[in-house]
Amino acid sequence: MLRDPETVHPLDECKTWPEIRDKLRLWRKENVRCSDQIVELGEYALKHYQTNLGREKWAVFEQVCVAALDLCPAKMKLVNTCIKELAEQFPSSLRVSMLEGLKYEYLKKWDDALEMYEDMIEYEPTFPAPYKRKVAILKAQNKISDAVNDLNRYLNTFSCDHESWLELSDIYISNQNYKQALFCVEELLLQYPHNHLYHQRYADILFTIGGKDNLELSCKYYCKAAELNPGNVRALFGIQLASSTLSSIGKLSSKAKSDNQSLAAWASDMIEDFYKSQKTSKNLIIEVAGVLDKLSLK
Amino acid sequence: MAELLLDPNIRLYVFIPIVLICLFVGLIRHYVTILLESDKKTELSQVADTHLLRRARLLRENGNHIPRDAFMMRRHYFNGPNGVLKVEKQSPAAANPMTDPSMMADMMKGNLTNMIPMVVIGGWINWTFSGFVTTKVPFALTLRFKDMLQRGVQLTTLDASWVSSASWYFINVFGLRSIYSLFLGPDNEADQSMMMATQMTAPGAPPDMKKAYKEEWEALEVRNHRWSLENITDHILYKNNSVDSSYQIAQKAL
Amino acid sequence: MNIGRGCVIAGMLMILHAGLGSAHHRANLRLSELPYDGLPVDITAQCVIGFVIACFGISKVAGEFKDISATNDLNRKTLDSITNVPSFYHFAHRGRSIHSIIYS
Repeated sequence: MLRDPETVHPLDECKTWPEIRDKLRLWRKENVRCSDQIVELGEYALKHYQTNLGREKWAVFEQVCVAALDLCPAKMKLVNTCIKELAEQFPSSLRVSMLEGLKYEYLKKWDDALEMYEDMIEYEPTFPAPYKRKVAILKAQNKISDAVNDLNRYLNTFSCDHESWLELSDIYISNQNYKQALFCVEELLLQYPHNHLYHQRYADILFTIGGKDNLELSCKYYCKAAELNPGNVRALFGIQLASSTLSSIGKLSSKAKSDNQSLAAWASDMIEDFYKSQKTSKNLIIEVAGVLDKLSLK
Repeated sequence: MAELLLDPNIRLYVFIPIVLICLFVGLIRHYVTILLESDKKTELSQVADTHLLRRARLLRENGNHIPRDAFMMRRHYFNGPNGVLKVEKQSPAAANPMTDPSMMADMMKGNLTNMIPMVVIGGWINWTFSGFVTTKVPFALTLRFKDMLQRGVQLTTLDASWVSSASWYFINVFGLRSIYSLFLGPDNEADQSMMMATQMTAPGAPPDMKKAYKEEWEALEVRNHRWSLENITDHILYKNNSVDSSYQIAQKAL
Repeated sequence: MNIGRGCVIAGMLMILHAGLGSAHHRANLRLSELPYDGLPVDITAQCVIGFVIACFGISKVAGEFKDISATNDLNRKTLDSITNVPSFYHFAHRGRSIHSIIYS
């Protein structure tokens, strides 16, 4: 069995039960998709710490099941075990049926999976998961426009679903429909206005579209992201790029030009400070400084 | 007023038992309500309404973080001539509680678990523990309260602060709410004040939706947009002493 | 967790005991017809100390405190994980072929 020697093995880091439990909880909460680590740690926890887990056991089963599907076909036995245990504990549960649907999707039995989701929708129209899985099936089959239409129809009803707006913005970005992606990210901003990453993403899209107004707007959103999180280096780079580009455009007033230049200089200083504070090698710092000097769009 | 000395037996056989009775009745009520609860099926349209109202509320609260055009576009979507908040919704016919059997059943269950035990037990306690004062409330009361709070005691000169056991029971009913949330978690069925509040409003969703839509429409209409990023570049350039970035970056490295 | 629970129980027992002690004290004063001049120092001290211990225990039991600033939590997250949407995960990715080699 091939194993990357540089991979982090979670069992090396987490030796005691509280560490294992907290790590699994962290991965559940933050939606980290490190499936091989989850399966390794989760299998270990389920084998050795079943009593300690208590009622969290079922959440860990679900977590391990989804992660193991990522590693299939090798882990199909584990997937089946998880689904069996959950079905015994929660008979006729919609969430467990969702896991079975996921298994069909992995096996590419699209019709079986779709039929299952349609039945679930008929039985419980207000349960949002089957709608989303139908969109995911279309995405897996690479039918992007159908997926987008489906997701839009879903968002007509469940208009406040944060995850779906995030997914829709991702699809639009990958399809280069930047105006629509902007709309989706605005919805995200309305729901979580203190998240620096959403401001940064909004600025990224504006910067990609280009044009003087969009560059100004993106510079402001990068500033907001940097204000919310001074450690967000991408935002600092964004400020540097946007403001140095703006200052080289001829159509600005002199005050705006000087503002942009000072902003670019400030951002460069911040970036250099950040790299120095991270104790990186001297060569990297010199490289970064060189790059910053040359960084501007024409 | 003279300091009355109460029989210590009152403390042992009246005061504490009333507290315990109230506590256990509340717990039993909570579990019985859970057992008798019927599965409430929510309609898709209700979910859509909830989401829509929530989205409008988020626009109102956090609208300052998106550009002005985006805000105006969304406000037009909600409040414009064909806006979603303006559409006159048809109220479905099943708003009458007398004709809808499931609503009738829900109301009966609500009455059974909340109103009836309170009345019955209050009456029983009044009958059992009558004829003496139970406790003294720590604040002074006017004479008008004497009639209400000193049911079984016919002393005209007694200070109104001395109350009977029925009033101690009522104090417990309202006071033990926070103890219930300690034992049963928040949002528990033993909480009677919420029950009383919901019984004031008409049962049934459609009237609430119309009112909620109207309120949301008005709130959004008066909302002005002040973009929070208006002066952010100035803020960063000229006031970055307050945002001591190098300090924060150094902190992050720790 | 155990220290916390122990402290909460100990603190509450101390407060209860102080309450019982004060009732006992007042009864004694009535029997001996002495005027009531406030509680003795040891009962008050027991009540206060019990309260402090119970507060300490509760803060241990209540779990991890979150940062006051709303952004501190968010600032530690990265773009990798925050754009993951578990409801839309699909399995038509390269992992299918790679993992069959790795785990074979």
